[in-house]
Formats: sequence, structure tokens, C-alpha cells
Amino acid sequence: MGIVVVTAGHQIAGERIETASLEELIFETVSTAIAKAGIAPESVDAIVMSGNDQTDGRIISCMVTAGPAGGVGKNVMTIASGPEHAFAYAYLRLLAGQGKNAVVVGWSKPSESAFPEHAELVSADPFMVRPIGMNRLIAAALQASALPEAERTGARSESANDPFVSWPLTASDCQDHADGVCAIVLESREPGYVGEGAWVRGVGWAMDRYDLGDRDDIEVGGLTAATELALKQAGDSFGPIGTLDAFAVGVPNERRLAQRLTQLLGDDKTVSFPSIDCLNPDFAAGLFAIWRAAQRVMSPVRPDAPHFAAASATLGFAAQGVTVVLMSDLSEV
Amino acid sequence: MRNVGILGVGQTDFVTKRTDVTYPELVREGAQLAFNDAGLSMRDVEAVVVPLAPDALIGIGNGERWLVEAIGATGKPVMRVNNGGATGASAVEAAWMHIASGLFDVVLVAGADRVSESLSAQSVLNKMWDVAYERPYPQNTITMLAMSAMRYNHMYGADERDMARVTVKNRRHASLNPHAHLRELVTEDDVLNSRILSWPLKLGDVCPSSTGGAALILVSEEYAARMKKPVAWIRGLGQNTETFWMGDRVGPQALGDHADADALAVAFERAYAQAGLTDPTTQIDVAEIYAPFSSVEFHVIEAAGLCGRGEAPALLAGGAFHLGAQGVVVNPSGGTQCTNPIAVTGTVRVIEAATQVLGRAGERQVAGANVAIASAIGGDHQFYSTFVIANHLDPIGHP
Repeated sequence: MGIVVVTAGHQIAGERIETASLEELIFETVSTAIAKAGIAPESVDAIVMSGNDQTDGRIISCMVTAGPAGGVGKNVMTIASGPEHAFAYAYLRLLAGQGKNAVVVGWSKPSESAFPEHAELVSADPFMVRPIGMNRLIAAALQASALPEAERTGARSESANDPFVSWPLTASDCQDHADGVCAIVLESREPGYVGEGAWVRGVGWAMDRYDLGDRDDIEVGGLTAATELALKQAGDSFGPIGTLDAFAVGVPNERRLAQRLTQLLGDDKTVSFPSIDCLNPDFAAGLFAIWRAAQRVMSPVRPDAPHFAAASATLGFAAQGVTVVLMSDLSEV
Repeated sequence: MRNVGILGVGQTDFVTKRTDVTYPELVREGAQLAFNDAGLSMRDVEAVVVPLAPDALIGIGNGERWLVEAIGATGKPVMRVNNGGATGASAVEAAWMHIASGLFDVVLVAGADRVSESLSAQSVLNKMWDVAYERPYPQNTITMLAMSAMRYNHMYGADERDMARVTVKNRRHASLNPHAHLRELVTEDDVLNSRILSWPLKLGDVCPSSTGGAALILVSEEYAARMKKPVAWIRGLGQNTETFWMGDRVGPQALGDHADADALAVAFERAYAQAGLTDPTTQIDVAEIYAPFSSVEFHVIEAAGLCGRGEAPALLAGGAFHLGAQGVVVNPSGGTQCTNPIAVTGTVRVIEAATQVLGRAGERQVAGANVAIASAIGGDHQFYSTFVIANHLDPIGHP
């Protein structure tokens, strides 16, 4: 048995969606995803969700989102540490034989918050990090500042003329806050299954230390462990990787992540697709990266398509956590 | 399906406030107790699941990121579960999935809560309702469950003295549990004369705001065999989700009735089916069920199939569900009503159930306990997690 990314639904209307509530966005996204997968709502076996209570403005946000996500009467699990962890959980659940399918949904609507950075600030510990005013941008800038000079500047051609938003990151180095929802449908399939989908060959995730001062920031501490865990599942027949979709806050950091991951996966011909060209809603960005990677190897196989793809996303201040997802168009599992 | 067992458990003594430790240090305390119990260390652990919800109560978002070094999890897979009050049990379910998937053999569930640190837990919990409709009431967990209690009493002819009997039983049980928060014995009149919070709920009917940590270590059957130690087996687990809106649980168009816990009954049925448990009235020795208020315990007992609807109050008045009584004993630990560190309350239910079937519950031990159930409730009675735990892998049969 293997696990297949069948399809996805997504809603990104831009940096600010004013025509729909978060609950409506989630409902529309999940409805679209399961309809594309040909699954009736009553046939969905599990809903795995991820969001951020502080950004959503509710202390247990999953209460109001479980219904729109189709969870009433079903097994609902909220993996609050990150959407890519929610993906990993859905994968584990199907491997455990608990149902035939699962819908993973992640969301963010920071436009409803006057200052999304305040939600990030309260994720900082109250003794050391919060008093200095930490947020994801400052953390990413600190991470980028540890890079060799040639890697931390000029990340994009226009950035040389951009003002710094937090040195050494310029405005065009940084993903904007965005509203959006992503729902991915996973199914368990027997080897040899013929139909559209990307086979999940391995998922790894790991956490580094919390305090930035304790880390070697440029090495993305959890990356090696996460990659080893994913490769252990994928086996010797996996690779070479053709494409990589990564997400980390700040272009220099994401580029470093992609370089290190490519080295660990052992293929220097990998084509890496930066996330900066996409909108990246917080608590959905990792799912979008996974979905973009899945689409590149989705069967039926196109002649020019790669056979193997990887996705990687980071979470927490300065990439404390990292997840690696390996996929292929092949059914060997 | 791969069998998964509980090799070690740990829980701190629960109190109102701890000022000597931070949140990560409190999580570490619980984890260390579980390691000591299992004879393992963090080096043996392959993945960690952290129960934490709502993180507003500890005053830091995504607190799971803060505790990584404290428990020695640097470089390991760590994920956090948030299913409201059910989180502590849902985290055990998530850990079970890790091992049942075949990818992991040893998984730690470790968490903590410090509910009193928020100064007003109910003000925080009010923020779990929707901004426009139920939050301005102001709805909180006490007013919500007061409505449920009124409905139950109306439907089944129960009253406040029936509710007081639940408290008296649970306090007696908690007095035998060194980890419990509220351990003083009370009488029915003590409860009935206590301050009204939201009628019919009085101070004596409700749980405390607890601080403490809890952890358990799940292992695969293969790993357990190598350890050669007694293991409590998770034989079945279930989860189900109810509607969010209170208004969907009353009136002729209601999907369910707020007096009952129909969605919880479905969750129990799912766990029983997986475990092969066919008669809950005779095949269960211990029930560690999530009932933060006295009134809740009745409809959870009934949803678990331990008796018929509306029968629990009379059975309790007749002496059932007490330690030493015939049949299933309900909450021999004193239950959630006597200890409620929200993020790990469900974890403690599973720990207590495992401790009972392993025969290690000390003064609160139920004689001859082989099969136990555990449950947790999250949100506005919305997320339900259930477990069947036994000290063997044989078919669960009649006694």
C-alpha cells in the first residue's frame, strides 16, 4: 500500500480577501478539493487541520473551522505546530490503515488582524525573546545575516535597489503576508494504481533548538534529520530528484535551504522553484509548497516531467522546524 | 494492524500554581517521570507529540517550540496537537498513529498546563466562541455546561443533589490519589451550599484550574517484547466531532440534544469496534472519563454505554460507580472534576486507565482491573476522543 496526493483545492485571492470569511474560504476550499478527487463528503474518512489561534483571533480556532472543513461526524485532528506537520500526520494515519483517505487543510487570514506581527510576537517566550520584539521577519533577517556576504544580499535582481526591511533582507527578499487556504486530498492506494496522483515516498520532520543563539542558523538544524527520516522511507530506488519546491522566510534563507537539501538528496541537477514568486499564506505555505511539488510529478506522466520531486518548508523563528516530503510518479513503495 | 502499548507514564502532583518552573521545565518534569517509569531516556525516543491547547492559557503561542531543548528533543520529529480540551487524549491518538504506521517504535507524549496563570481562565475561554454571536453573551465553559445540565435534569428528572453525589464520589476517590488537585472530602450539603456560578452549577460542581505536567511513552509490540516489562495495550481508539453552534443542539431541527452526548457515543462505538468490545456494561472494569463538572459525568457514563440514557443518577445514588462497588468504577482517580490541567487532562485520563489495568494505582486501585476506557472532550463539547486499554492482547470477553 502507498499514499498518493490525489488533488488539492486552494483559495488565494491576494494579500487581502474581503469578500469571504475564513470559515467560508475553508468550506469552499475543502469542497473544491474533495469534489476534484471525486469523493463524496460522507466518504471522507478524516480531516487534518492546521492554523494559528493567535492569527485567527480565537483561542481554539479549530472549533469554528472544523465544521466548514467538513469535520462534523468525522475524525478531526488539529496539528497546530504547522500545516506540513498536518500533512505528515495524515500520511501516518493512512499508513496505519485508519481509513482510505484524508483531507489536510491549512489556512491563514492575517488581513483580519491589524498587526499580524503581534501574533508572531506572542509566540516568543516571555523572558528572553519577546522583550526584544521578535517576529518572523526579524528572525529571518538574523538567520540571513549569518550567511556569507555573497549569499545574504542581492537575492533577487531588483533587491539591490530595495530598502532594507530588516537587514540584510529587502522588501523583495520577503514573502508578504497573504490570505489563503490550501486543502490536499490524500488516499491510500495499492501499488500499480493507475490514475492521477503523486506518490508520497517519504516524509521527515524535525525541530532544532528554540533559542537562536544556540543554533547554527545557516545550517537549518533539523534539515539533516528530517531528510534522513524521509529518505529512510523512500528507499534506494528513490531519485534522482528532479525538482524542489521550498519555503522559508526570506529569499536568502530559502535558497540556502534548497542548496543544503539538494546536497543531502545527492543531486546537483535539481531544479529549485522559489516560493517568492507565489503568495504564501502563513500556516498554509508549506501545503502550497507540497502541492506545487506534487503537481510536477503527477501522473499520467508527461514526457518532459521529472519522476521525482521534493518539497520542504520551515516553521518557527528562523526555521526552527523543517519538513521534507519526497514524491514520485512511480508506484513503487 | 500493529499493536501499540503504553510502556511508561508520569504525572506531577497537580496544584493551583507553580512559580518555581517555566512551562518547558514543567513539561520536562512529567517527561522525566515517564522515562523513569519506562526505564528509557530521551535517546530512545524517536518522535514527540505535544498536547497544548489553548496556548493562550500559558501566555505563549506555539509553546511546543519553546520546550524542545528542555525535553531533549532537538533534532527529533516533534508535532503539536490542539483539539481543545480533548487535546491530551488526541495527542495519544496521534502518537498511536506514529507507531501503527510502522515508521516509529518509541514515541513520547509530553505536555503541561498552568491554567491558573491566566488569572481568569473563563475570560480566556470566552474567546473560543465566534466573535459576532456567542462571544458577546458572554459564553464560557461554565455557562455552556450550565445549559447542558439544565437540559439533562429536565429531560431525565435529575436534580442538584444528584449532581452533588458525583462530587462527593470524585472527591473521595481523589483523596486516595496523591497526584490529584482537590483532595479534601466534601458532603452533598457542602456542594449544595457552595456559591452558585451559573445555575444549576455551583462551585462544588466544577473543576479547579490546575497546573502540572504529564507524559507517557508508547511503544510497538516488537519493542515492548524486547523490554520485557508489563505494558498497557491500546486496544481501540475513536474520535468524533460535534457541531460548533449551541443552537444546532436544541429545538426540532437539532442535530443532537445538548442533554446527551450522542457524538461522544459514536466515538466510544468506534473504539469498542476496534477493540472487539461488545458489551460495555460487563466488559469494562474502570472508566476514566472526562467530566470537568459533576453534571457532565452522567451523560458521559451513558454515552459510554455503561447504562441507559437518564439512568446514571439513580445508579450512582444506589452506590454504583464508586470504588469498591460492583461493576465499572468511574473516575477512581477523582477525574477531571478534581484535576484539570486542560492541555494534559486527556493524557492523564489515559495514564490513569493504563495505571489501573497494570495494577499500579495504589489506594485508588480497582481490584482485578483488566479493561479500562478513557475519554476526553474538547471545545464546546465538540471534539471527542476515546480509548479502550487492556493489560492483554487476548479477545475482550465477558468476565
